[in-house]
Amino acid sequence: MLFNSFEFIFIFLPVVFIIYFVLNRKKYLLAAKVWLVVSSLFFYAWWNINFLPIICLSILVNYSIGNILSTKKYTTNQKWILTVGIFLNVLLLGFFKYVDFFIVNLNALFDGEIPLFHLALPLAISFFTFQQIGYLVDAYHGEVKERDFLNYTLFVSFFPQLIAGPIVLHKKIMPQFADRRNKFFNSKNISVGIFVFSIGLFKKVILADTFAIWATQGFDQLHSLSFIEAWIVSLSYTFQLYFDFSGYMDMATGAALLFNIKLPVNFNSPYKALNIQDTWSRWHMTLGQFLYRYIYFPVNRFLLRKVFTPLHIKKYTMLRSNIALMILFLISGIWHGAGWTFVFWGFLHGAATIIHRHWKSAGFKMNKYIAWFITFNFINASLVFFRANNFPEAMKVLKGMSGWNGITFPERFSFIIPDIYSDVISIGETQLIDDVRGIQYIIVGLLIILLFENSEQLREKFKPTWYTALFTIIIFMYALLSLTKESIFLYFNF
Amino acid sequence: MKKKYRTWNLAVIILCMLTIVFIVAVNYLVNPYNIFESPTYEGFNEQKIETKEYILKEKDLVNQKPDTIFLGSSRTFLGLDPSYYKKMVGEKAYNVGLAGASMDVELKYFEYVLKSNPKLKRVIIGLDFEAFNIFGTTPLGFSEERLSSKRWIKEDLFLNLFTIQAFIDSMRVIHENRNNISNLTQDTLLEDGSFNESVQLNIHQEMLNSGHNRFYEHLQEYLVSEQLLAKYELSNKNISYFKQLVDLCEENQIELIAFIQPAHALQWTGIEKAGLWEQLEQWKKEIVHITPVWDFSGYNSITTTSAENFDVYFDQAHYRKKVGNLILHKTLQIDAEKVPSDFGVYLTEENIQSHLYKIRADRDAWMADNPLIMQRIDELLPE
Repeated sequence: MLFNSFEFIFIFLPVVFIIYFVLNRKKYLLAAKVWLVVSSLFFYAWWNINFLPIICLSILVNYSIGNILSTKKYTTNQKWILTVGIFLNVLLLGFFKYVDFFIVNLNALFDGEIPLFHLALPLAISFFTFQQIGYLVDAYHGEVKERDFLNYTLFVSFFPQLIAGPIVLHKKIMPQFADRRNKFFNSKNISVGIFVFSIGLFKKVILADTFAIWATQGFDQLHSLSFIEAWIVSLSYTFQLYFDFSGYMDMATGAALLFNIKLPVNFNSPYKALNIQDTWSRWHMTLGQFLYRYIYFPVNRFLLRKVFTPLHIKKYTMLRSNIALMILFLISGIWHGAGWTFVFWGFLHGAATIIHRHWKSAGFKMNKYIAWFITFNFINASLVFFRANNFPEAMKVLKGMSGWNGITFPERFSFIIPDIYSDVISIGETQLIDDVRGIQYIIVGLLIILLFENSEQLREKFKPTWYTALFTIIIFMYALLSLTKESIFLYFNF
Repeated sequence: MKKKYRTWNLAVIILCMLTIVFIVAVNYLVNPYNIFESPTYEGFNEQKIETKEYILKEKDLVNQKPDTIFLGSSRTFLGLDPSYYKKMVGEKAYNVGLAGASMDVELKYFEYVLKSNPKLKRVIIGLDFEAFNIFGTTPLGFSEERLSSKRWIKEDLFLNLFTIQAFIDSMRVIHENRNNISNLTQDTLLEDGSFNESVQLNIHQEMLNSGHNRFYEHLQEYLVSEQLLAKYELSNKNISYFKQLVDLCEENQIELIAFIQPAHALQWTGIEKAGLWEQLEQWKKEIVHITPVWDFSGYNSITTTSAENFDVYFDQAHYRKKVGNLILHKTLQIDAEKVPSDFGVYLTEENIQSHLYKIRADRDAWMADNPLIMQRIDELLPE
């Protein structure tokens, strides 16, 4: 079930909410918890019931391994048990997400003809796998303990964060469920929840879905793009991705707040960042924290102990962190999607981060506006690889952006181009639908990401006034009234 | 403080609910697309925005239960006249022509009529080469789910009662009715399902006055569109849909009259220039293999009329109702002598080969006679 659907907003969410608090109020605490778990699994199964057994199996296996780890039953073999646990998770994810990618490459390398599996990717598998790997590592370190199977299931499946995160830590979430005060209706959380959910719905339905028009057309449909079209397309995707994902996070945060659960912040105005490291500390923050905690540090430690110390090059700490960082970003790339374009995207960000580290350690400084401009353009250009289905498609967009295919402006802009440039810039028809509206949207997008406070800041400032009520009603209703999309009506096609 | 939050919550929830009720009520009462059965009042909502023919015709078919239906794309929609048919034959017809309809869409609507109207006696179907293109896409506005029962489907209800667009259109309808303007609220769709000619004529005349000749511009749209002529492969699936339609008519003892649409000579020349002439002939052969048809295509005294005015055609694809009337006379063999003798040939497997040769010869002659038109068409072709 999508957050931005009538089923979710008008049926699922109110019903789950009311019954949960009624059960709690009547002191059926266990029943309330069972209700929340069952509802979450129902929410998951709504897309495709065939995936339900997979998530249940994953929960069961990880719960058992976590239990063995945290009870320290087999103290001598702890490390092995953890390794097996992580391996099983990676295996499950690898099988569903990467097996075809692996076969395609194998076939290409050895001229083989191994048939592909064409498996449908179980929903949210990337998220619940990572979340549970984190849990196992924490259990190994003795930082968490969960004896109660129902609690553990709730930790993984709680519907607001199940599909696309944020990736939550057990020790941050489960105490909230255990807190008795959180079992009762909290008017303030409900207000804030409705407020944040509405912002998220608006970002997704009105902004992201509109930007998607140009991104989809430019990446998937047109064969070549002129200069201005390529920029509309790439910027549209950059905004689509942000508004889509952060909008989804707002809806998740809002929905969780109705149940008095505070999910961790996942976005903090990433496009305001002034360097690439800053970007990653503001973008999909829980993934970044996960990768630092469970990839960067272990890899760094491993390199120190097994490579750098034996080779007597311990003092090259910068080199060591750079290798660990690159591994982090390559893994981040492939985690986002099974394809070389994703790996390359990860590589670009790894390289940029390393360059930035050297820049910083050399003590260079840069003007704030130039820094923002370079950072934002780097994000935008690298996202072309993230979005494109293959390298030629990415090159198509980048070629257009570089002016390779000529610089053509739509007729409406003829007035801004001085005659002396008429050799370089031509005026003509562009293929992109509604390109002028695209430019308008991009300007609005830029204003929103640069000048406005983000939803987290708005949430903290929230006050129950008529002003916030009106604001909420307007954006919520506007988004709701745009949920059903009318196709563009091409009259008299033939 | 807690009370303040509670008030805020109640205010937001209640106001949202009231807004929802208000918007749904307004859209239902104004009924901007004329698809609900709400009352109309002069100066309020009498004139509507009639662009949702895929929904409207589905509802009309159930309510009107015609003896005859006209099937086809927008060519049928604009060109065949049920009221003229009624004068001729004395039976009630409904025009089910739908913009952009491919063969599968036409079959789906026919099956829907079969289910909902046992009175149906005759089907007249206009066939389009483009409706059999493998690269053709499902026309916007079509929903298979909608035709699964007479009930409203969820999506149609939400789209027409609960969207910003519907609400804006409701406001426009009220505004235009009150002030007696008709920018959007033109009486485009007549009760018999056919298109209001005068509206279409006005649009095309105004475009011509501003230097846009729809004969050529519309042809160019065909030539560059990858769903129409820029990419073409005959769809066996769509051929089999046509066969299904023929078989269903036979099983249900419904008379079927099939004809190939008389697009303007410019259109046939465009098809030749796009390198699709052999495909066109192949298509005709496959159709005739299924059932004999009337062929009005090619280069005859109607299709070669002037492309500089709208006396006979609206554009290179769409003919006027007077041409549609000739088609009815010829195919029904009622006062057939009114029809030019070169307009409409009854094609069977016996005469098709010689007929195709004749059209080729006609084509070459016409192209040779009209070098200026040829030049203009060449300029329209995609690189």
